[in-house]
Amino acid sequence: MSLAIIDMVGLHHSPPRINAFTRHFWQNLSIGLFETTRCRVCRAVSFPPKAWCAKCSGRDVEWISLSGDGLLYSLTTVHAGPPALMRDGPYSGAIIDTAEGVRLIAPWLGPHDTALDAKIELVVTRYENGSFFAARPKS
Amino acid sequence: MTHSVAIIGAAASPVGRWAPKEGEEAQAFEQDILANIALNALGQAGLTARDVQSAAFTQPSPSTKQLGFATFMAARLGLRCTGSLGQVAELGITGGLAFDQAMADVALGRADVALALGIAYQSNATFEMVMDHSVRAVGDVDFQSPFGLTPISWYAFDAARYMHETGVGRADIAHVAIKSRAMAKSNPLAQFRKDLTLEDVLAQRMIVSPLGLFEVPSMADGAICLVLGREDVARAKGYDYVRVTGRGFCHDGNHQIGDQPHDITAFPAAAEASHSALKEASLNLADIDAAELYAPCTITEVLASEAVGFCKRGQGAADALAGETSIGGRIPINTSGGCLSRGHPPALTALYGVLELREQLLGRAAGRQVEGAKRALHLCELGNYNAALAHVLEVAQ
Repeated sequence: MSLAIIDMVGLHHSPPRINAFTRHFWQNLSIGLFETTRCRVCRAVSFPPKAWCAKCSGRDVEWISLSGDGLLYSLTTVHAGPPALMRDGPYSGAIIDTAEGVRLIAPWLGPHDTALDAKIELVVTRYENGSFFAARPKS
Repeated sequence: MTHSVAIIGAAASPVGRWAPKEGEEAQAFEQDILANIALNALGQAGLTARDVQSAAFTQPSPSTKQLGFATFMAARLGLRCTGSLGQVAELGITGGLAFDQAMADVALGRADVALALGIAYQSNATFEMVMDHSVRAVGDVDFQSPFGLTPISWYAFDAARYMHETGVGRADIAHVAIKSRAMAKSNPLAQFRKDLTLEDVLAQRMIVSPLGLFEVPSMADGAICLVLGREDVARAKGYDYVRVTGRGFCHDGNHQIGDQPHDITAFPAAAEASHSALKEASLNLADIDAAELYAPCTITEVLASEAVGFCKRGQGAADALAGETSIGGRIPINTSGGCLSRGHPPALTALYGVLELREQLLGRAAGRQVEGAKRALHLCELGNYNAALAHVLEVAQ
């Protein structure tokens, strides 16, 4: 269940902002575990993780682990973006549907012309000032 | 207590890049430009500031120094509101909410005359500030914004998915830019009016793949004021007016995307809002003669046209190419030139869209007139059409 960890050079321009609840997510991510919340009552899975359920309004949630497997739902390459991100040239972002039925956005580390619906894996990108997640074609 | 609402006056600046740059001596400040426009709009109905009971301002841009802009402007103009006065703001639907609030105040009897107005400067903000604000607006600042997805990146996601699912190509979708330009040529308010070919569009550099420079909106400034009033008063006084006969709103529950898989190209809020508005107006989609659909990118017009039902699924681009959505076609869409050619100051785009339909219904859209247009649909949105607001406008009876 552990995600590959990729060491990145330098600092992330916008390191994770952590609170008492999301600390669990970011700390686990930094060791390769991608966790999110599920409602104990209606079983709805949420991403980002949160302390309540947007489906049934319940407040009883539990942490679950995602496998990191999923499909590439959509993909774009940004050629005009925030200067801090454009320093290394155009960058890509993806909409990912995880195997557990959760949709999320992630930086795309694969080829910019990857065909949609391709199998993907989530990875951890570890910067000097914090860890994020990203996606790439499943190896 | 429910009154029929009419649009009885309107004035606007051309859309373009005319905001004074930082450090330049300005010819006029925001209040000077907007006051001039508001007085012109009121003057069309023979009204003065003292005749106004409500004013809904769009929130000015971050580069506007003056805060508390609504009461500041009210004081400068000489408004004495007893209905309501304030700013409204929520991303791209801002202008629509201002119009909606002014309309509600007239309908509820809070105001005989209500203004929906604003000024938006985009071109004088630094690229860094625009980008910082935009990625924070269209994503979760903790779990999405750090990845740098700009507002139009989300429409690029739509385009990539739509092309994958339907087999429709970029060049097909790009035709929306050509037909928008053709109609904008005769719109004196339009930002871009030079001839444009498909080769021109496809030759531009990528901005957010698969969309290039001419498939996405440019930076633009604008200023506009619409005057709304009770229809019975407008009729009695013999004003030239159009009626607002239907209204619908829907939020799909998402901020850009949901956390469960869903079809991002379906725009269900667009369908729901426009159908609610048509139902209130007791009209069918086939009764509509012209439509303005908020569409920052080529793909957005295609998807909104399909979601509302003007075009079949997968046919939006082909219909644009066939002239079905141009003047003389089955359903002219964005005769103003839309966001791509009329221009797109986001907070005001909806107000410019309503203005275009008023021109059409009054028979004043010279060079791009939809002959005999009697009923029109306006649709605006925020996010990735997550929320949509529709209004039906009709000619005076």
